[in-house]
Amino acid sequence: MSTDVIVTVPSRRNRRWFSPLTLGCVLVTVVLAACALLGPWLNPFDPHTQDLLSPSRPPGDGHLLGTDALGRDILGRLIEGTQAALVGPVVVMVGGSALSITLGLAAGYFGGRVEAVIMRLVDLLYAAPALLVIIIFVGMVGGGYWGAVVMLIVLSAPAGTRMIRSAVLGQRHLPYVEAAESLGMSKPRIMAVHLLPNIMPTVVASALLEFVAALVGLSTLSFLGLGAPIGSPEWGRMLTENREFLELNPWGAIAPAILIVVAALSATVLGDAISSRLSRGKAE
Amino acid sequence: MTDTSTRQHREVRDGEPAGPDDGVLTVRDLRVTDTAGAEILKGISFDVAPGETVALIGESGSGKSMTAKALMGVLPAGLSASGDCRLGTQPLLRLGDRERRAVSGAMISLLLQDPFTILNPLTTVGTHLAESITAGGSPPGAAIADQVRERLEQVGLGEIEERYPFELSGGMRQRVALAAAIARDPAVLMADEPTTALDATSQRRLLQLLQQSQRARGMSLLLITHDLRVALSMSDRVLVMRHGEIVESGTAAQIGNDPAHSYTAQLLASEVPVRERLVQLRPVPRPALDPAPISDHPSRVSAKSGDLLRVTGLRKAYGGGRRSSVKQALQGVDLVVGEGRSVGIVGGSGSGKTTLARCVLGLVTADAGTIELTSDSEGSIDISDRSALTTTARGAATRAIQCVFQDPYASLNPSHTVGFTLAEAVGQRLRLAGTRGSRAEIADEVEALLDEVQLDLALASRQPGKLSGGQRQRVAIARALAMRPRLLVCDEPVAALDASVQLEILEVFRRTAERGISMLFITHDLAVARQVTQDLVVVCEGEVVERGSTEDVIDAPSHEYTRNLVAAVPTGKRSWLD
Repeated sequence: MSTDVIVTVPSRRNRRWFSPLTLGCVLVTVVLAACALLGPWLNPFDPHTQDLLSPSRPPGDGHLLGTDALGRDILGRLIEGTQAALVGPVVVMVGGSALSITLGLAAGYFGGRVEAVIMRLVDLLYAAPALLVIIIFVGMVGGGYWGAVVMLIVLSAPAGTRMIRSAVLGQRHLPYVEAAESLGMSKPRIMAVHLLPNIMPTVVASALLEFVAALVGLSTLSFLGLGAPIGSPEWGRMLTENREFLELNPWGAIAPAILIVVAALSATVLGDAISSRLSRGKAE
Repeated sequence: MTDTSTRQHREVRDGEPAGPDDGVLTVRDLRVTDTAGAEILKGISFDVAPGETVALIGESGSGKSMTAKALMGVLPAGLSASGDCRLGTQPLLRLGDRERRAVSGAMISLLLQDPFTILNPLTTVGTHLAESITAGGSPPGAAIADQVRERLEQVGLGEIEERYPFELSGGMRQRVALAAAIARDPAVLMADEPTTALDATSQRRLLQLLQQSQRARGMSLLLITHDLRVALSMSDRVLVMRHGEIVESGTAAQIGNDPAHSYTAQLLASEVPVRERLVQLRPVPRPALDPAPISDHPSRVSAKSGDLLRVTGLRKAYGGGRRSSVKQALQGVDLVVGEGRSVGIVGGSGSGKTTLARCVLGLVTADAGTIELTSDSEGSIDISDRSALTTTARGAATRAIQCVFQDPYASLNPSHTVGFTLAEAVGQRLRLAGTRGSRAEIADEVEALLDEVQLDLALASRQPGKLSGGQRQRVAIARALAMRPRLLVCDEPVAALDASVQLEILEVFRRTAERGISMLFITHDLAVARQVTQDLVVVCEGEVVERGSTEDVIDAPSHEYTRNLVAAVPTGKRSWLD
């Protein structure tokens, strides 16, 4: 008989899951999402018009963040580039999660040989330095931005697979799974309907981590000249293009760098908040 | 150790329970509150005199463990304690870290419930004990080694200093923990459910040991337990707690014979006797849903004839890989469950009861032997290896045999509502039968199921997290019944429940049996077996040592092992521990 007094009555403070920090991150995410969805059509600052007579100007004169080497508005280009910067990571997050959920559930639930094969494969991929592999592959074979995205999906799945597998192992031998088995339910149903909802905190955390890794990874590739095509307003691309004019208009390089960091941080904090909120819901 | 002569004489204030006012442990107006201001302990007061045994009893959530944790200064984060609690002259709630270290272990000590987690798995028994003895800082050496040996002998253990916790049984671990708790001769030992995780025979031995050690040292003992019978046979005085308050206190004889508070009376009435089968299980009569009185003649139900399940020569071993030795869980078990009969399987922990249940359920496959299930359409089929069956036969076996597990907190999926869980089970039965029900049909059946286990319909939209233990176990039973099984395998289904809830759930099982569903009822508690089974099979180390009708086996056990089991059932009398 359990005698531990479970302290119910959660205090008001515990119930509130929007700390000021989380709230800030939600705000950032909403603004970025709005830019990504509406930017190409409703951009208040024209990102394409060149003004070759006023290149690399510091902020002022109608340009809030100044202009780039071709005299285009930096802020306008940042907004325009949000979509390009975020679409890739979102695709990696969705694709990578789907892959790691499938592999992690299968490995954790079936065990035995299935687990051995999946986890050795995962170990192998985990050992590969993702960025280096992508640079070599995209650099030699080609495939551009979307080639990099696909490779990131494959190469970021191992971390998620490991996390999800260990979460499944924690649930796998609980009586509710055995109850479902003794009701004669199919294995895919047990995995999807019974195990998956109970490992959601881990799934969310791992998905957001994949997003962040992809955001930074893709920006790095664009910075290195792989990934986003030359001339497109993508953050990593802008960072490398405006780097040479740092003394004329530092904001041209600093602003996209800040955006990358802020977007990555917000995603991390948000993932953390959602995941701990979900696990608290489970505990209650 | 406190010098008893320096103990303060305290004035007993008005309205406080009269007790020995020179108690070595005095607790006055102890309150524990959480950050939101909710009170978990609502100002309790009591004393424990030198050499006295005081039992603190109550159901889960009554605050009895919190009391011990507050006194030891190990409250969970977010909780704070207030009040005037003294051990001799030491103000227990106002000790700094350094003073606390001087008091804990040396003057007051806590023995915890779970023997499987209270010992550090990476240290040997010897290291663990040496650490407890030298917590003051004296250097380890040959003298300590001798002391460790002496301490182990005192708790009836031989030379096991070099062993790791995983090499010991639950009872042995609890003895090591006891040796460590009293290693520095504390004046007060608080034991928080020290035997709850042990089986009946180990429980009796540990309690005997606890009593001996206490008498030998003149130590005070605060025994925290949910088991009224254990409390009555061990203690001088009993404090009954409920919702963070002490509702009654008195000597063990007073409480046992003439309880003043209705709650205490209710607790007493909830204890299931091992010597008789109760006619009416529920302490409070419920509305006449089925007016037919339950006969106390246990074999009344066996109107049908024939065997439903026949287990022959079942063997199962675990381990045997490169790194582990083979453990024989079942060594040739034979068993018959008649149509409409309920068969109890009793035995201590590690006797193979649960493995047997898992084999019958098809969760594990036996190494040898057969499990024959008689079905109306196909005659008798061997279901010991489910993967070798045809899909239809496997479906039939699944529908025929359902289970109820021990832990109602883990056997329901926490992510799904009660309604979803039940609807899924109903849908699964229809699918296995090759049909499909409409949404309305399934909803109707879920409603009927909830009614059958006497749960409010409104609970269907709740998640298990919002239900009590008893309600969860009812849902688990309803889920099993949704498959319309012919055999219900129950693995310790009431072991995790409070006594009063236990009764209600046993009543549900009785009514299930009355509907003609056979049961394989696995339990360590003979009193529970007495109430719901007709036949009893006693297993010990994977073998059946005795079988017969429940009355015969309990009232006139023929095997030594069974006699020990019967003797180990707490009686609530002092003679029990002699």
